[in-house]
This record gives sequence, C-alpha cells and structure tokens, in this order.
Amino acid sequence: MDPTRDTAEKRDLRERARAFFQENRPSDPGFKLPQTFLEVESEAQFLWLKAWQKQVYGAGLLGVEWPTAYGGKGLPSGSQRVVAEEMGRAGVPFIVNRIGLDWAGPTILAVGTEEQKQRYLRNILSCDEVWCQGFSEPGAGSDLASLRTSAVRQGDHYIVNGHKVWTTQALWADFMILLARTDPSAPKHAGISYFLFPMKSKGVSVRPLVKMTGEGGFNQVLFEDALVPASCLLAGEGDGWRLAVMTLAFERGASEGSATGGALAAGGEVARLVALAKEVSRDGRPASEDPVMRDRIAELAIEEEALLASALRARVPGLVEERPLALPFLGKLVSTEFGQRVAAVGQELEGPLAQYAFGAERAAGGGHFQRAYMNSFGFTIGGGTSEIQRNLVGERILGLPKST
Amino acid sequence: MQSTARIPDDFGYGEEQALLRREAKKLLESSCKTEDVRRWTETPAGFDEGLWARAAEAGWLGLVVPAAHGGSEMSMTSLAVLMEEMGRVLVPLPFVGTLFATLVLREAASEDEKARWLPQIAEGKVRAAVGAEERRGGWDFAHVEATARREGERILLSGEKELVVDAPSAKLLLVTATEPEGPSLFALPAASPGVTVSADQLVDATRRSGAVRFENVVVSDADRIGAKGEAVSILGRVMPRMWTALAAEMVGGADRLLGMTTEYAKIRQQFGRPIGAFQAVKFPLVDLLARIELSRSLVYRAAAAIDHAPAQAEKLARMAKAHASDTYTFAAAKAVQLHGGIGFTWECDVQLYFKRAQWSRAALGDAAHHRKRIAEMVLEG
Ligand SMILES: Cc1cc2nc3c(=O)[nH]c(=O)nc-3n(C[C@H](O)[C@H](O)[C@H](O)COP(=O)(O)OP(=O)(O)OC[C@H]3O[C@@H](n4cnc5c(N)ncnc54)[C@H](O)[C@@H]3O)c2cc1C
Repeated sequence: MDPTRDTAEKRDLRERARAFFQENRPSDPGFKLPQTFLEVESEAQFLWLKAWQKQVYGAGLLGVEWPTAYGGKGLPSGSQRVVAEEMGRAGVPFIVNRIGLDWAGPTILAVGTEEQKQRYLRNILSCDEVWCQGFSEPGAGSDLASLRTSAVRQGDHYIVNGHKVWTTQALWADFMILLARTDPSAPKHAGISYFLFPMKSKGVSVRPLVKMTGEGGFNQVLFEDALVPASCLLAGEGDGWRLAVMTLAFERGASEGSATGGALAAGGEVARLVALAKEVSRDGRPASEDPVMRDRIAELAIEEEALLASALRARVPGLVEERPLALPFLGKLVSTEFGQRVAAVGQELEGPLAQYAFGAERAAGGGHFQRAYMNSFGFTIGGGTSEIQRNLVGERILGLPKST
Repeated sequence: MQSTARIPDDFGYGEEQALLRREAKKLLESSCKTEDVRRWTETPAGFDEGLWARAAEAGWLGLVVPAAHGGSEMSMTSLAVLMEEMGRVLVPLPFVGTLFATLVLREAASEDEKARWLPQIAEGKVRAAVGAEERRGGWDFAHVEATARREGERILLSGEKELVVDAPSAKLLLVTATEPEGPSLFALPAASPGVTVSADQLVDATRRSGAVRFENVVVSDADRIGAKGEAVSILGRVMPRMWTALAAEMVGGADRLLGMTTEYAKIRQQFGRPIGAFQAVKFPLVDLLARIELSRSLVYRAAAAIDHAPAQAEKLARMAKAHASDTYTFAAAKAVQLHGGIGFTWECDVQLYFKRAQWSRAALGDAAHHRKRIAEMVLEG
C-alpha cells in the first residue's frame, strides 16, 4: 500500500507494523501452511498459527480499535486496516482466530454484558481461546432461519440437540457462537437464541470434513443432550435472529469493528499475477508479453484499485450520501468475486503448467493459483452465497421486491 | 513530484463540492428535462443558447479558469461533481470542447493568449474546441499529418482533424500541426480564411463534432500554444483531467440508467409480479450498481490524485476512464434489455443514454486502449 495515503496519526502505526513484520517474519515452519484460516487441518498448523497470532498481539498490532478495557488499544476506526495492509505487503501468515476477532468478538462487544466482555474479548485477541460459528445445518444454509438445532431450558441450563455443518475450525475451537431454536412454536425467525457455547461440553462431537482442495478445515458438529449453563446465552432468549444478522454483517464486512481489518484489505494479488506472468511462458515467450494476458492483468489491476478506492470512499459521507449503505453491502460480493477472477486468470497465465496440482514439484509459483481458485469458492459460498448477497443488495439497496 | 504528496482521506470533497452539486442538480433538473434535450438535439446547433448562458452565469464555464482571468479555478474534484450531474441529465451543451480547450490554454498558453481568451471563455462568449486526432491516428496524439510550414514571419497550417468535439459551434480552435521540432499546438480562430468545419453525424444526438480542415491558414509564432514540438507533452499533461471528467460524466449517465431501469422493474408487472422480483432481472441490476459504485470510487480518487498527488494521476485517470467506459456500456445494454420492447423504441429515453454511452466509450480512448497503457505501468512500471 501507499504510505503517502495516511494521516500523520496512522503513519506511526504503519511504521511500527512495517518494522515488526520485517523483523519478525516467521521462518519456514517445515510443514505446509494453509492459505487461509478456513483450511487449518493439523494440530501442528494450528499451534504454529496460534503462536504467531500471540506474537502479533503481543506487539500491539491486533484489536487496535477495541477498547483498552478488553485488551485493545482504543485507536480510531481505520487503524486496524493499516496493520492489515502491512501484513499483506509483508506477505506474512494470516491471523488464525478470525471468527473470534471478526464475527464473535464484535457481536459480544456490541451486545454482551460487561462480564461477558471481560470474560471473552481479551482471550480472543491473544488467541488463548479460539472460536467457531455454528450457524449452518444440513437443512439450513442460505435459508438459515429454518435451522432445527434445539436448546431447551432446564433450570440453570439448556440442553442442546442437533447437527451443525461446514463449521470452520470447530476441531480447534474453545467456543462456538451457536444458533439454536429455543421456542419451536414461535414463527421461524422469532424462536431462535444465540449462545456463547463451550465446545468442550459433554455431548458435543466434532467430525472433520475434507474439502475439494484435499485439505481439512471445516467439520460437522453433533449435539446429543449437551448441557450448557444459561449464562452462555447472549442477549435475551429469542434475540438470536437479530444477533445473527449483526454477526453476518460483521462477517461480510458490512459493519466496521473487526479486530483484524481483514475483510477489506485487498491488495497484493495483482502483484502476484505480475510476478507469475514474468515467470511463465506462452507461445515460447514470457506470458507478461502476451497482449491478451496483459489486458487481463490490467483489467484486474483496475478492479483492485477500484476496491481499494471504494473502501476509502465509503468513509467520506459526502461521496456516498445518495446510497450510504451500498458500498458496505456490496463489499463481500465484489471482493470475493474479484478474488475468484484473479485466481482464474492466474491459472490462465500458467498456460499448460496450470495442469499441475498445487504442491506439485514442477508447478509454477508452487501452484498457488490452482489452490487459490478452489479456495475462492469458499468465500463466494461461505458467509452467505453471492446469490444471497445479490438478493440482499437488490432488495435492501435498490428497493426491488423480494425474490420469493 | 515531492514524495510527501498524498491523496487526502476526504478525497478533497467538502462543503464547496456539496454546494456545487446541489446547485447543479437544481439548475439541471429545472432547465434540462429530457423533453428539452430531445427538442434541442433536433436543431442544427444541437443546444440551447439560453442554457449556455445559464451555465456561464452559474460559473461552470469559468470553473477551470484561473481567478486572474475571470474564473473560479476550482479543483478537479469539483469538475467531477459537475460532470457527474451533467451526465445524469445528458446535458446537450458544447461543454466538453470548451473544457478541453480551456485546460490546454491554462496549461501552456502565453500570458497574452490566456488574457485574450480565458476571460471570454469564462463569460460564455467564446466556445472552443481542440483538434488533436486524425483519421489514421486512432487516439494517438503523436500521429500528426497536418503541417505547419514556415514562410518568413508567417506560419501556414494545412491538414485535417477528425471528430473534433464541439467544433461546429466553436469560435476558437486549437489544432496540432507538425513543425521540424515535432507536433505543435496552434490557436486558430474558426473564422480564419482557409478553415472549414463540417458537421458530423454522430451516434449520440446530444453531441456535436466536426472534421476541421485547414488549408494554408496563416498564423504567427504568437498563436503557438507552448513551445515548438511540445503538443504531445502538453496534451499528455491535460489528458488526466479530460479522462476523469468524461469518466465522471459516464458515471452520472450510468447511474441514471440504473435508476430508470430499477424504477421500471418495480412497476412493470409480468406473471403476476413486478419483474424486479425475478432474479434474472434483479441480479444484473445489482451487478450494475456494483460497477457504478466502483467506477465512482475511481473517478473521485483520480480527481483527488490530480489535485493533490500528480504522480499518481495518469494511472488513476486512465483506470477511471477504462472502468467507466465498461460500466456505461454495460448499463446501456442492460437498460435496453430490461425495458423489453419499449426499451427498443425511439420514444424511450433509454436510447438517448445508450447512444451517449457509445459516444463516450469511443471518445478519448476506450477501455482496451487505456488498459494497454495501464498494463505497461503495472508490468514494466
Ligand atoms: C469454506 C466454507 C466455510 C464455512 N464455514 C462456516 C462456519 O464456520 N459456520 C457456519 O455456520 N457455516 C459455514 N459455512 C456454511 C455457509 O454459510 C453455507 O454454505 C452457505 O450459507 C450456503 O448454504 P448451503 O451450503 O446450504 O447452500 P444452499 O443454501 O443449499 O445453496 C445452494 C445453491 O443455491 C443457491 N441459492 C439458495 N437460495 C437461493 C435463493 N434464495 N436465490 C438464489 N439462489 C439461491 C445458493 O446461492 C447456492 O448456489 C461455510 C461454508 C463454506 C463453503
């Protein structure tokens, strides 16, 4: 990123971050690291990434916008993004506790009791406690409100029964933000509650799933008469849908407040394409000289710049007054589809070499884009599919009638 | 450029720009309705002198003229605001040609030439145009077959410029012609003996342009804008503003198409519900919204770069023009398609925008043209 874009206030932070990532770039762990937080599959990977997050937090570079009372730094909005940009620039490994930092944390910060905030937030930042998200079920994906997992109140406890699926990091998680139905007789959106659920409870079993990349990372989670204290409830009984919508807004980057600033920190992908284009050949010449490939790269460079410019413009009220919510609502849709196109073009650039699987000895650039292309669908599906995003934007921003 | 130059966080958008937008909206909404536009475009001149006078009164013609010469010299961000609003209503004024010429004069003319032309431009008394492209040039300003031949004190200009926007109504023409040092720019009153301007038939009825022919037209050294052989470099310095201005206009037009089509999708019923409830209609509108928002971000970022961080200006302005060209083209195609049969009619306003989109895409470099240069900057830069 261009440091000349900062205010003086952020320049300090940027310099500190830059210096830290330069001096503390982790050495090769000796095993393959996953590409994103969605693919952590082995304990070795997980422990290594956990230690890395601890180190970054220790350097004062995580949760910088969160209040100091809960382990943050209390810096102004937009500060975390500066760190995220420097992380991207330095090409260091990602921060592993994303669900805690970006989805669970901001929700707890917004609606949790003082006790809950004290109990959970600091440990999210330090990675002492890792979180997962138990929203989706086999029968409830896009139509999340049709979920069936039940939580029945019994004295000071709830008894949970049900089946969650696609649960990222459930295997490593200490806590889950869990949606469960507490009132089966209420209308579909009304009877849902939101729990801060301890994963080590009895009656919980986690079964890893294998992704098309061949990697692990998400899981099925089964609840059989799992008993949790009533104090695990976030906000009130029946508030679950409202809180789920809030969490999803954080997840999709439609609300500010994440502790990693990661959602909008695009950048660096086109630079990777450029490097690859110089390394591989088409028709016996560097792909970087091929006019069609050059045009593709230019197109993506323009879009990368447009995404960056949009993230910045979104914070200038006068320049978004006609549709103040358009950019936040569009963020996930456009950035994940952009990522997908970059990965597709990356493979196209490789020409015949795109046949190599990632990790193959002879693959160009380690086969980064083969893997990235597959992984890119995780982002256009997870957190609400692109189709659901289009429905949402069409209805909420353009005011078009409901599709169903 | 000093390394401290930075694009401000607020994109240089403040109260001044908000006010300009409000006033432009008010003026244009009241005095430039589509029925007016249609009426004016059917006249030979293609525009209304009354509206031109109002534009001058509002200070739009002096917007890029320095205060010393009777203008208000506002920022590129302000110009982008005005262009965006003009694009929304498809204003058929010979504004682009005069803007282009004003920028060139401001950039490179002698103090005498500036004093001679700029105050009159700001007042709306002189309309101008820039002829810098030729038939075989394909957007390349360096391709100049027109010649400037010296004969003692006199310089004789001969050649032809094509598709000179707003030339038919211009009093002042700035043209390029080659000297031994390379292409130079000359100021040429349109009434000079030996000058003929044809009126083109354009795809966009709200625009006028012409081929400018000049045969042994007599000028002097004083009529040269900038130094000998400097035309390409002068134009190069001016172009980021022109690309950004056109991109802003395109964003305004595309946004208007989105608005019109969205409204139509809410009221037009088929199969017992508004067509906007069908995802085959809804999704392209969302994609259009996304593209417009991204284009707009690039426009204002390019504008802010021009004002504050010139080192980044060319790349960002080319990006804005390329992106907006694609966006407007997409907007036009979707608008016609989603209006169905009505969208294919002369009567439907969509066609006016559709044609403006086609004109804008082809003017001053289309998306592929700019991407070619951007690729050089990204891959070799
Ligand atoms: C990598 C990854 C990680 C994930 N991690 C988690 C996690 O940690 N926790 C969690 O709770 N969930 C997680 N998910 C689940 C994710 O939220 C769901 O997969 C997603 O919401 C889609 O639901 P589904 O898979 O049931 O697809 P479905 O809802 O069955 O959709 C199938 C197809 O139909 C389309 N479709 C459905 N409804 C409509 C409609 N109304 N209009 C148009 N098209 C429609 C969809 O867009 C999709 O293309 C993850 C998913 C992935 C891919």
